Amino acid sequence: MSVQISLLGDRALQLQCDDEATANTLPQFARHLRQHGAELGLLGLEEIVPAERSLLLVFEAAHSPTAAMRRAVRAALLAFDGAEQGAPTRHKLPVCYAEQFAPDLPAIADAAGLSPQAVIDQHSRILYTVQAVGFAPGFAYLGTVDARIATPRLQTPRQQVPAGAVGIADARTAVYPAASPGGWNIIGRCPARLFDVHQDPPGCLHVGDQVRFKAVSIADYEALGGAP
Amino acid sequence: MNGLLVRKAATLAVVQDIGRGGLQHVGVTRGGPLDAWSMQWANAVLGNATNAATLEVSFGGLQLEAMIETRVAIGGTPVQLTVNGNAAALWTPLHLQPGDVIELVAAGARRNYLSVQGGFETACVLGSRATVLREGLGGLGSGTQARPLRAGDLLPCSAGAIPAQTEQLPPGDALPVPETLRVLPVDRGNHFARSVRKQFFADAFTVSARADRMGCRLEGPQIDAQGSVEASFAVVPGCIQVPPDGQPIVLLADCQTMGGYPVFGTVIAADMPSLGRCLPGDPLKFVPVTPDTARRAWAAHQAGLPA
Repeated sequence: MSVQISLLGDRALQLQCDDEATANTLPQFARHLRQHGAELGLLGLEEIVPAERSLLLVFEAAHSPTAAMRRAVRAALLAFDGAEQGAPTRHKLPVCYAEQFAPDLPAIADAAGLSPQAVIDQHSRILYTVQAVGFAPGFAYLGTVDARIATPRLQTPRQQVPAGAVGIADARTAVYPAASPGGWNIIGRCPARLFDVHQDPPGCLHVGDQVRFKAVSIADYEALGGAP
Repeated sequence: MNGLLVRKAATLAVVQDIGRGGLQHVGVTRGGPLDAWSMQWANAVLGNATNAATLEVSFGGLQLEAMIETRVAIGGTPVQLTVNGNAAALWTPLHLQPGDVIELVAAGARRNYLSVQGGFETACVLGSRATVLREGLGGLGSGTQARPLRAGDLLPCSAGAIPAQTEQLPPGDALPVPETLRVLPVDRGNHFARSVRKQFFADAFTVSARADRMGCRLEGPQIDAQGSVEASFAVVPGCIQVPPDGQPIVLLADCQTMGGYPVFGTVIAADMPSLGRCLPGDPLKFVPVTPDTARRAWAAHQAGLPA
């Protein structure tokens, strides 16, 4: 196992992994710390933020990280058995790939030499993993997109991408939880609400979760509460 | 109408409490004041909880009319302040009657905090009243469509009991605008050659006109990173990001939760409030410190915060 634990400022520890096996346990380790951090001697944990190959631990001022805490984190990670944590949470997200929701689908199809339907099939075939959450509240980076339909970001980002827009950027795909500017290639629209300040937790996708998209008709999209 | 009516909002004025914690893993930015020291003292002057919601005013230019009898206090960097046109002092409770007008003049203003008796009662969203414009969180109304304040907006607060006497808590002389910030350099996986590190600490930077609540962009010597970051990682305010143009950005309260640029180091927590007092055009230098120095600096800083 190869893990580097370094200070990121005087409040935070950054765990970085080079090997994939350890990196894959980090999301579960994050959940473990959320529940048992205090028992493991890690007091005052304010933020626990997993990403693709890293995990950030931010502490309250009164518990700023010491060398002893670095050792405690390393020991906790060594003792951690990810297998005990069970299977990752799976989500099925409906997506309507109809023309009016998919302005960039034709260009992706052309570039790949595929029909639009084949691009849709490739996109909804894969069981994706949430690699990181960020950029905006509830915005989950999903990987890995099939190489044939992986597409670089638009040269000029759109000023406004609607909430629910499903996009591709390189080998990642994502659903925009809220309307925002955006440079991803938009190929569909998801009616599910991915971020809601009135829910606890407000975001439903977490790093390590698995996601599969399911193609739905316009009628189903609207029945599921999707905005026209 | 209970509250303070915005008569003129020519500047960036946003409601801030200490911010939305514990949600970085779902992509929610913490927000909060750029100068937490001044925000907390502005509250303490009125006997408020130090985390009560205040109005952060950048570059002055704000005029408010009291709709109720209440008290306010203004903290932060020196600013020309008037009540009904008469000069008033910072760091002092100001007793307002309905119809009284308080103004923070734009000329010479940097960053100020206006506290009100009991705190502003804007919507509490995900545990905080902090405004993060990029996310639309906080602010007026339901707290999910945040925008900068406009003339005609009403900042809600209560006509609560006003203590007959308040302990005066003067925080000292004019606030320092920093010339040097202390930095904990990144200790591993370094993207920066020794010569570049040396240059970063030797040369002066200038705060760019493009600085905002997300980041303090700097202009100065070219700081080149070696290689690129393979996978984005979580970042915190204070992180010094170096984008490909070689001009560093110190992340501030409204920074995104994740970053994909190499990080040179992090400004220590004790120096973040003073960074929050900087304006475009200000010169800045950086000095490397050890974790022990950072810890002692925080202890000294905390000793100067209201209890």
